[in-house]
Amino acid sequence: MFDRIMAALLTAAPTALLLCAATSLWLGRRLELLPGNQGLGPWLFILLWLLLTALNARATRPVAVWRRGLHGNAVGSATVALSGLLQHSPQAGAMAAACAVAALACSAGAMALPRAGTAPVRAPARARRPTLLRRCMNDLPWWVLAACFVESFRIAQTAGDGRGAGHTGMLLAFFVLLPALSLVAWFRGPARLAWLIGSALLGWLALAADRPVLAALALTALLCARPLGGRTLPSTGAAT
Amino acid sequence: MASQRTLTLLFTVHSWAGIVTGLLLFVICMSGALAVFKHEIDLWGNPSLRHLEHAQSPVGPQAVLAAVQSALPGSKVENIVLPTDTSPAYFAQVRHENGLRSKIAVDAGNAAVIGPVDSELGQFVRMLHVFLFFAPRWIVGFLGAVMLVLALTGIVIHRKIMRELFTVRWRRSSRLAASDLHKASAIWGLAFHLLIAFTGCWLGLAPVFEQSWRYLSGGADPAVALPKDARKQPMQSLDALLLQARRDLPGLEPETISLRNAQRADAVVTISGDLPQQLISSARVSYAGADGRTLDLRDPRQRGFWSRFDGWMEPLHFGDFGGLMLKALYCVLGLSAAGLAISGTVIWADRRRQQHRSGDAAHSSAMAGGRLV
Repeated sequence: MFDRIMAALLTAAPTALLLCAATSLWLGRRLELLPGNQGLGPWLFILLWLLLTALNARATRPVAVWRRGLHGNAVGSATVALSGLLQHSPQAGAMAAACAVAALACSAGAMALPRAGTAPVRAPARARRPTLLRRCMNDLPWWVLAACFVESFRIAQTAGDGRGAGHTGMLLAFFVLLPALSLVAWFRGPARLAWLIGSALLGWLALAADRPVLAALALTALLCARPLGGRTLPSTGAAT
Repeated sequence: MASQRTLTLLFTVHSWAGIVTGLLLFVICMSGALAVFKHEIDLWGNPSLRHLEHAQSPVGPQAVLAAVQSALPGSKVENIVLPTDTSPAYFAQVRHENGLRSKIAVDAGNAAVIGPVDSELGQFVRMLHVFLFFAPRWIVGFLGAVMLVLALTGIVIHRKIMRELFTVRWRRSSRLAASDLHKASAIWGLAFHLLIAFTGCWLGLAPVFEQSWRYLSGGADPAVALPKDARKQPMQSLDALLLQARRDLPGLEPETISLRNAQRADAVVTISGDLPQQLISSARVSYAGADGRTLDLRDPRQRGFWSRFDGWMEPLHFGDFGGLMLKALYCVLGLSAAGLAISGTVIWADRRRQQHRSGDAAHSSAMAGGRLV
């Protein structure tokens, strides 16, 4: 299911953008594209993207989703080329040629995909999974990190002098806490130290800027330093 | 030579960072590849401009300002975009009394107001690339940092660079083909991918670092420091200010004239553009609208290495310094970066399926073994 949805999302995005371009050309001033002008362009793009994703993801095999998506891109490119020519847009010929190349490339890609594809997957075997509490405790640092980033982001978006604290918080979360958490299974000591320093700095920053929520999150992050020590190497398989 | 442990670490970081951010990176790279042609797409999206031709001797911006103000009384002109090689018209960005903005096309030959443009498709694509429509630019900057990590970890994982440059095994399994394509396109486009990841990261995150440094060092925001004076006062001619800007910034190719508090005593006129001889964008000079005093001169050539370095980032990221062929190359290589997100997802999904299958097999054999015992 995940494969099909990812494939559908990836292939539907260019088609949605191409269809937005064609729609914009036909509707002209009646369709305001830019969100800054309260335009509906982004919403049209998102709507088309989700709609096409839902349509493509209905195929039973991932390879069929890719094929549908690539055909969709070819159709989208052709639509854009034809729209430009019919509307007598400036540089319509050059644009049509570029779109034709894109359409041919997408069609060729769709045809080059293997016919049968991979066999559908049976439901995975039920392995013994850790308890809910254990899983929550394992994932807690990630959730705390995400919350720190989101709260810093929120502060950075507010007006006033405190914005700089939000910017600094985001940088700390992204460039100190995230690498520390990502690498803790390999470099336990240095990563825990980086996590501690990052959390402490974040806490100091939150207190200096009078941001109690961020301070509470930083404190939680500090407390997470202990469970971090128990994290083990994830199983990844060999590199291809 | 990296140890197996290091390789496992880098592979884990590469695959998880890739799968978590792959979709967003795909959208950003795909829209970025198209945004290279922003001006061309903008022109294509405006059939009403098809009859316009490049004027031999274009009128000055003052005539454009006057024409727009008389055609749309009560509206404020905020920006005037000068004609370029691609676009033959002037464009005035106007804020109406209801607060909405629109972009008005003006004939560069005779300053006749053509009217609101049909669409801003190029800007729409660029907004998807730079802001994901709604987000601040930092988000894309952080994703640039992730892309940089992906590229750097990828280099170490795929050490047999020369061999992988020419290896694509089409006729074996789809996973192998995807894996070979992933490696080959990543290696062929490596320099470009590193370049756009770094410049994208810089463009998105430099303001965040700047704000953060200003906060930590207790500095004031220079944008807030301008004095306010709302009395009505006519402005200096934009043509004269444009000439002055060319004198103040030798080699400047002006692109945009921004007007702040136009026709007020505290009006500020900012003229910005490129210094193509030095491959620098972000040169600008601000004048007091009332008396033409120079308020701020940002010439990256005069402000030390980092300012010059900062000025290089935008042209290097968007490739608008070497004509149409360079743009086409940027577009193709940008699409190859988007393709990496696709092939990476295929490889990851295929491996996941195989792991499920081997899990199934192990489960079945364990069950069979249990029955035998």
